[in-house]
Amino acid sequence: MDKKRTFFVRLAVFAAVIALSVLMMVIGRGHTIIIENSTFEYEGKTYEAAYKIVAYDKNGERFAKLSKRERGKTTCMGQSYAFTVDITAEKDKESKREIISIDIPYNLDGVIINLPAYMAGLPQEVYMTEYVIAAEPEEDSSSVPAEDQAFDPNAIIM
Amino acid sequence: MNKKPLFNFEKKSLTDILKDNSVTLMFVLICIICVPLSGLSPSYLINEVVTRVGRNTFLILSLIIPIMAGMGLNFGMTLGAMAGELAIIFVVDWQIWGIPGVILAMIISIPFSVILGLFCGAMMNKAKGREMITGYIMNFFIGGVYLLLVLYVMGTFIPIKHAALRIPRGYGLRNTINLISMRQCLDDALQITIGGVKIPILTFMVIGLLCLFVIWFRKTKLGQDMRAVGQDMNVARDAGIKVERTRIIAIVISTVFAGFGMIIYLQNMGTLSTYNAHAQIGMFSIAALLVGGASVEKASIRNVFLGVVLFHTMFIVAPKAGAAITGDSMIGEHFRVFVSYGVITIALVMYETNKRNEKNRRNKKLHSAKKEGTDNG
Repeated sequence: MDKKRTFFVRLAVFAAVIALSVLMMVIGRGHTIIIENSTFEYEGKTYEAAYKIVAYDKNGERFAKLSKRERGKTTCMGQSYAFTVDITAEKDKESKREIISIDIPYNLDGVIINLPAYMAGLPQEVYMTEYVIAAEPEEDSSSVPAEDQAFDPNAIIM
Repeated sequence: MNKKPLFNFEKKSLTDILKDNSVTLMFVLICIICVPLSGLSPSYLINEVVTRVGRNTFLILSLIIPIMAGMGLNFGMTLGAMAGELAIIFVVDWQIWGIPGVILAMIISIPFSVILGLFCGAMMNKAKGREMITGYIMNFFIGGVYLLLVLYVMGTFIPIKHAALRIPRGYGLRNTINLISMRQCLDDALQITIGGVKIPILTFMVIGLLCLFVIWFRKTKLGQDMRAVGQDMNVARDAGIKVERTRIIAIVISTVFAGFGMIIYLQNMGTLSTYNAHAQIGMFSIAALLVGGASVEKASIRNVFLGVVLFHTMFIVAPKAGAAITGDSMIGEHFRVFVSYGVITIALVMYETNKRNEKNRRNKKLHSAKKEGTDNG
């Protein structure tokens, strides 16, 4: 009886750890979000870029101020992201405040959101494209440690 | 309540007190001399010490349980550090950020740490009485396996998705991995500032939990078994304790905690030096514990905190003090490395000397008892 109980307790702990891992993978998944204010063409129609777009994150902090053909960057954790934009369609006109909420596919590290396309109500697969983060420039041969480098006693900063 | 004093002054001569606490007192003296010489402001110094306490304490705490089980200073904790590094590499590649990334890395490090701990424990059981040197050499062996993993297997057999992690040739990892996505996420959450000193409350809470675990663990059946094994293996075996199993469990627990500690350490640093981040972790953690007044046979939570504060105060002030004394800050850098090794050497020499003295005293007693018996007979 005791062995059976121990087995089930261990199984429950194991299941809880797995569940916690899955939860962390979902809520901690990071994405880079690029918003762009550029003219967009889709099925023969043109969606004009706004004169100016100012974007604020959920804390109200500005993360981008975009003129035409400009991009701004932010990051988010989880599979959905909401931010606020002030859009000035044309010069000397009043700005309009919009809340933008997007669902980001889990497998994408980064996405580019075309704001004019989003504003026009186009489907997600149209206004959202994958953003591939470029690798850092090539390192020289020092990227591979030499034989005596692996355990350099002075290499660590405590 | 029976409270233990910071230094053990009870019924001892001044010479004994100085002898017992020589390393700690030496460090207090070094700090007293070097702090004014360094010219660092008190707020900077306290900030640095608090940061380093948060960064290193978990790692040092992981050393307590093997000492309790009589296995000495667990140089094999580096294996846990390697497990933590491997876990963090995966988490970075999977793009799990912030505190969830740290938690996931800790979970992923557990199986690696357990496997390495089982191996390390089994090896130490085969080399009873020589655990420290076995653990130390094991670092180099497993370090080689780790290098094979990160230089060849990752990117070849284990998929590494992001080019930012890989060497441009396509396999193997870069020298440095950026952990910006989780940099100081534990430290910044719940951080408070008192008098210009930033206090990472969440990190301290995690450390506090481990302290509570150690205190609780000592009182459990397994903890008592470990203490019994640590005092005398033969007596423990006669009492029905599975000595080998208990010792392996001690090493596994230490390795798992070392893995967690390494993850806390790396999130604070914000970068992972892929090939040598773990190299000196064991050495410095052990040195800090010994500076706190611990020995090969005895260590407590009090030793951990005293050691980490003294050792890292010396670490912070040594380069500046070295520059002030000799005009070359590198002297200070070398001094702190020299002191780290020196303190371990002193502790090991003292341990062996005490052991020999104890053996001689016992032999003398036995000899005089035998002589008395012969004279009477």
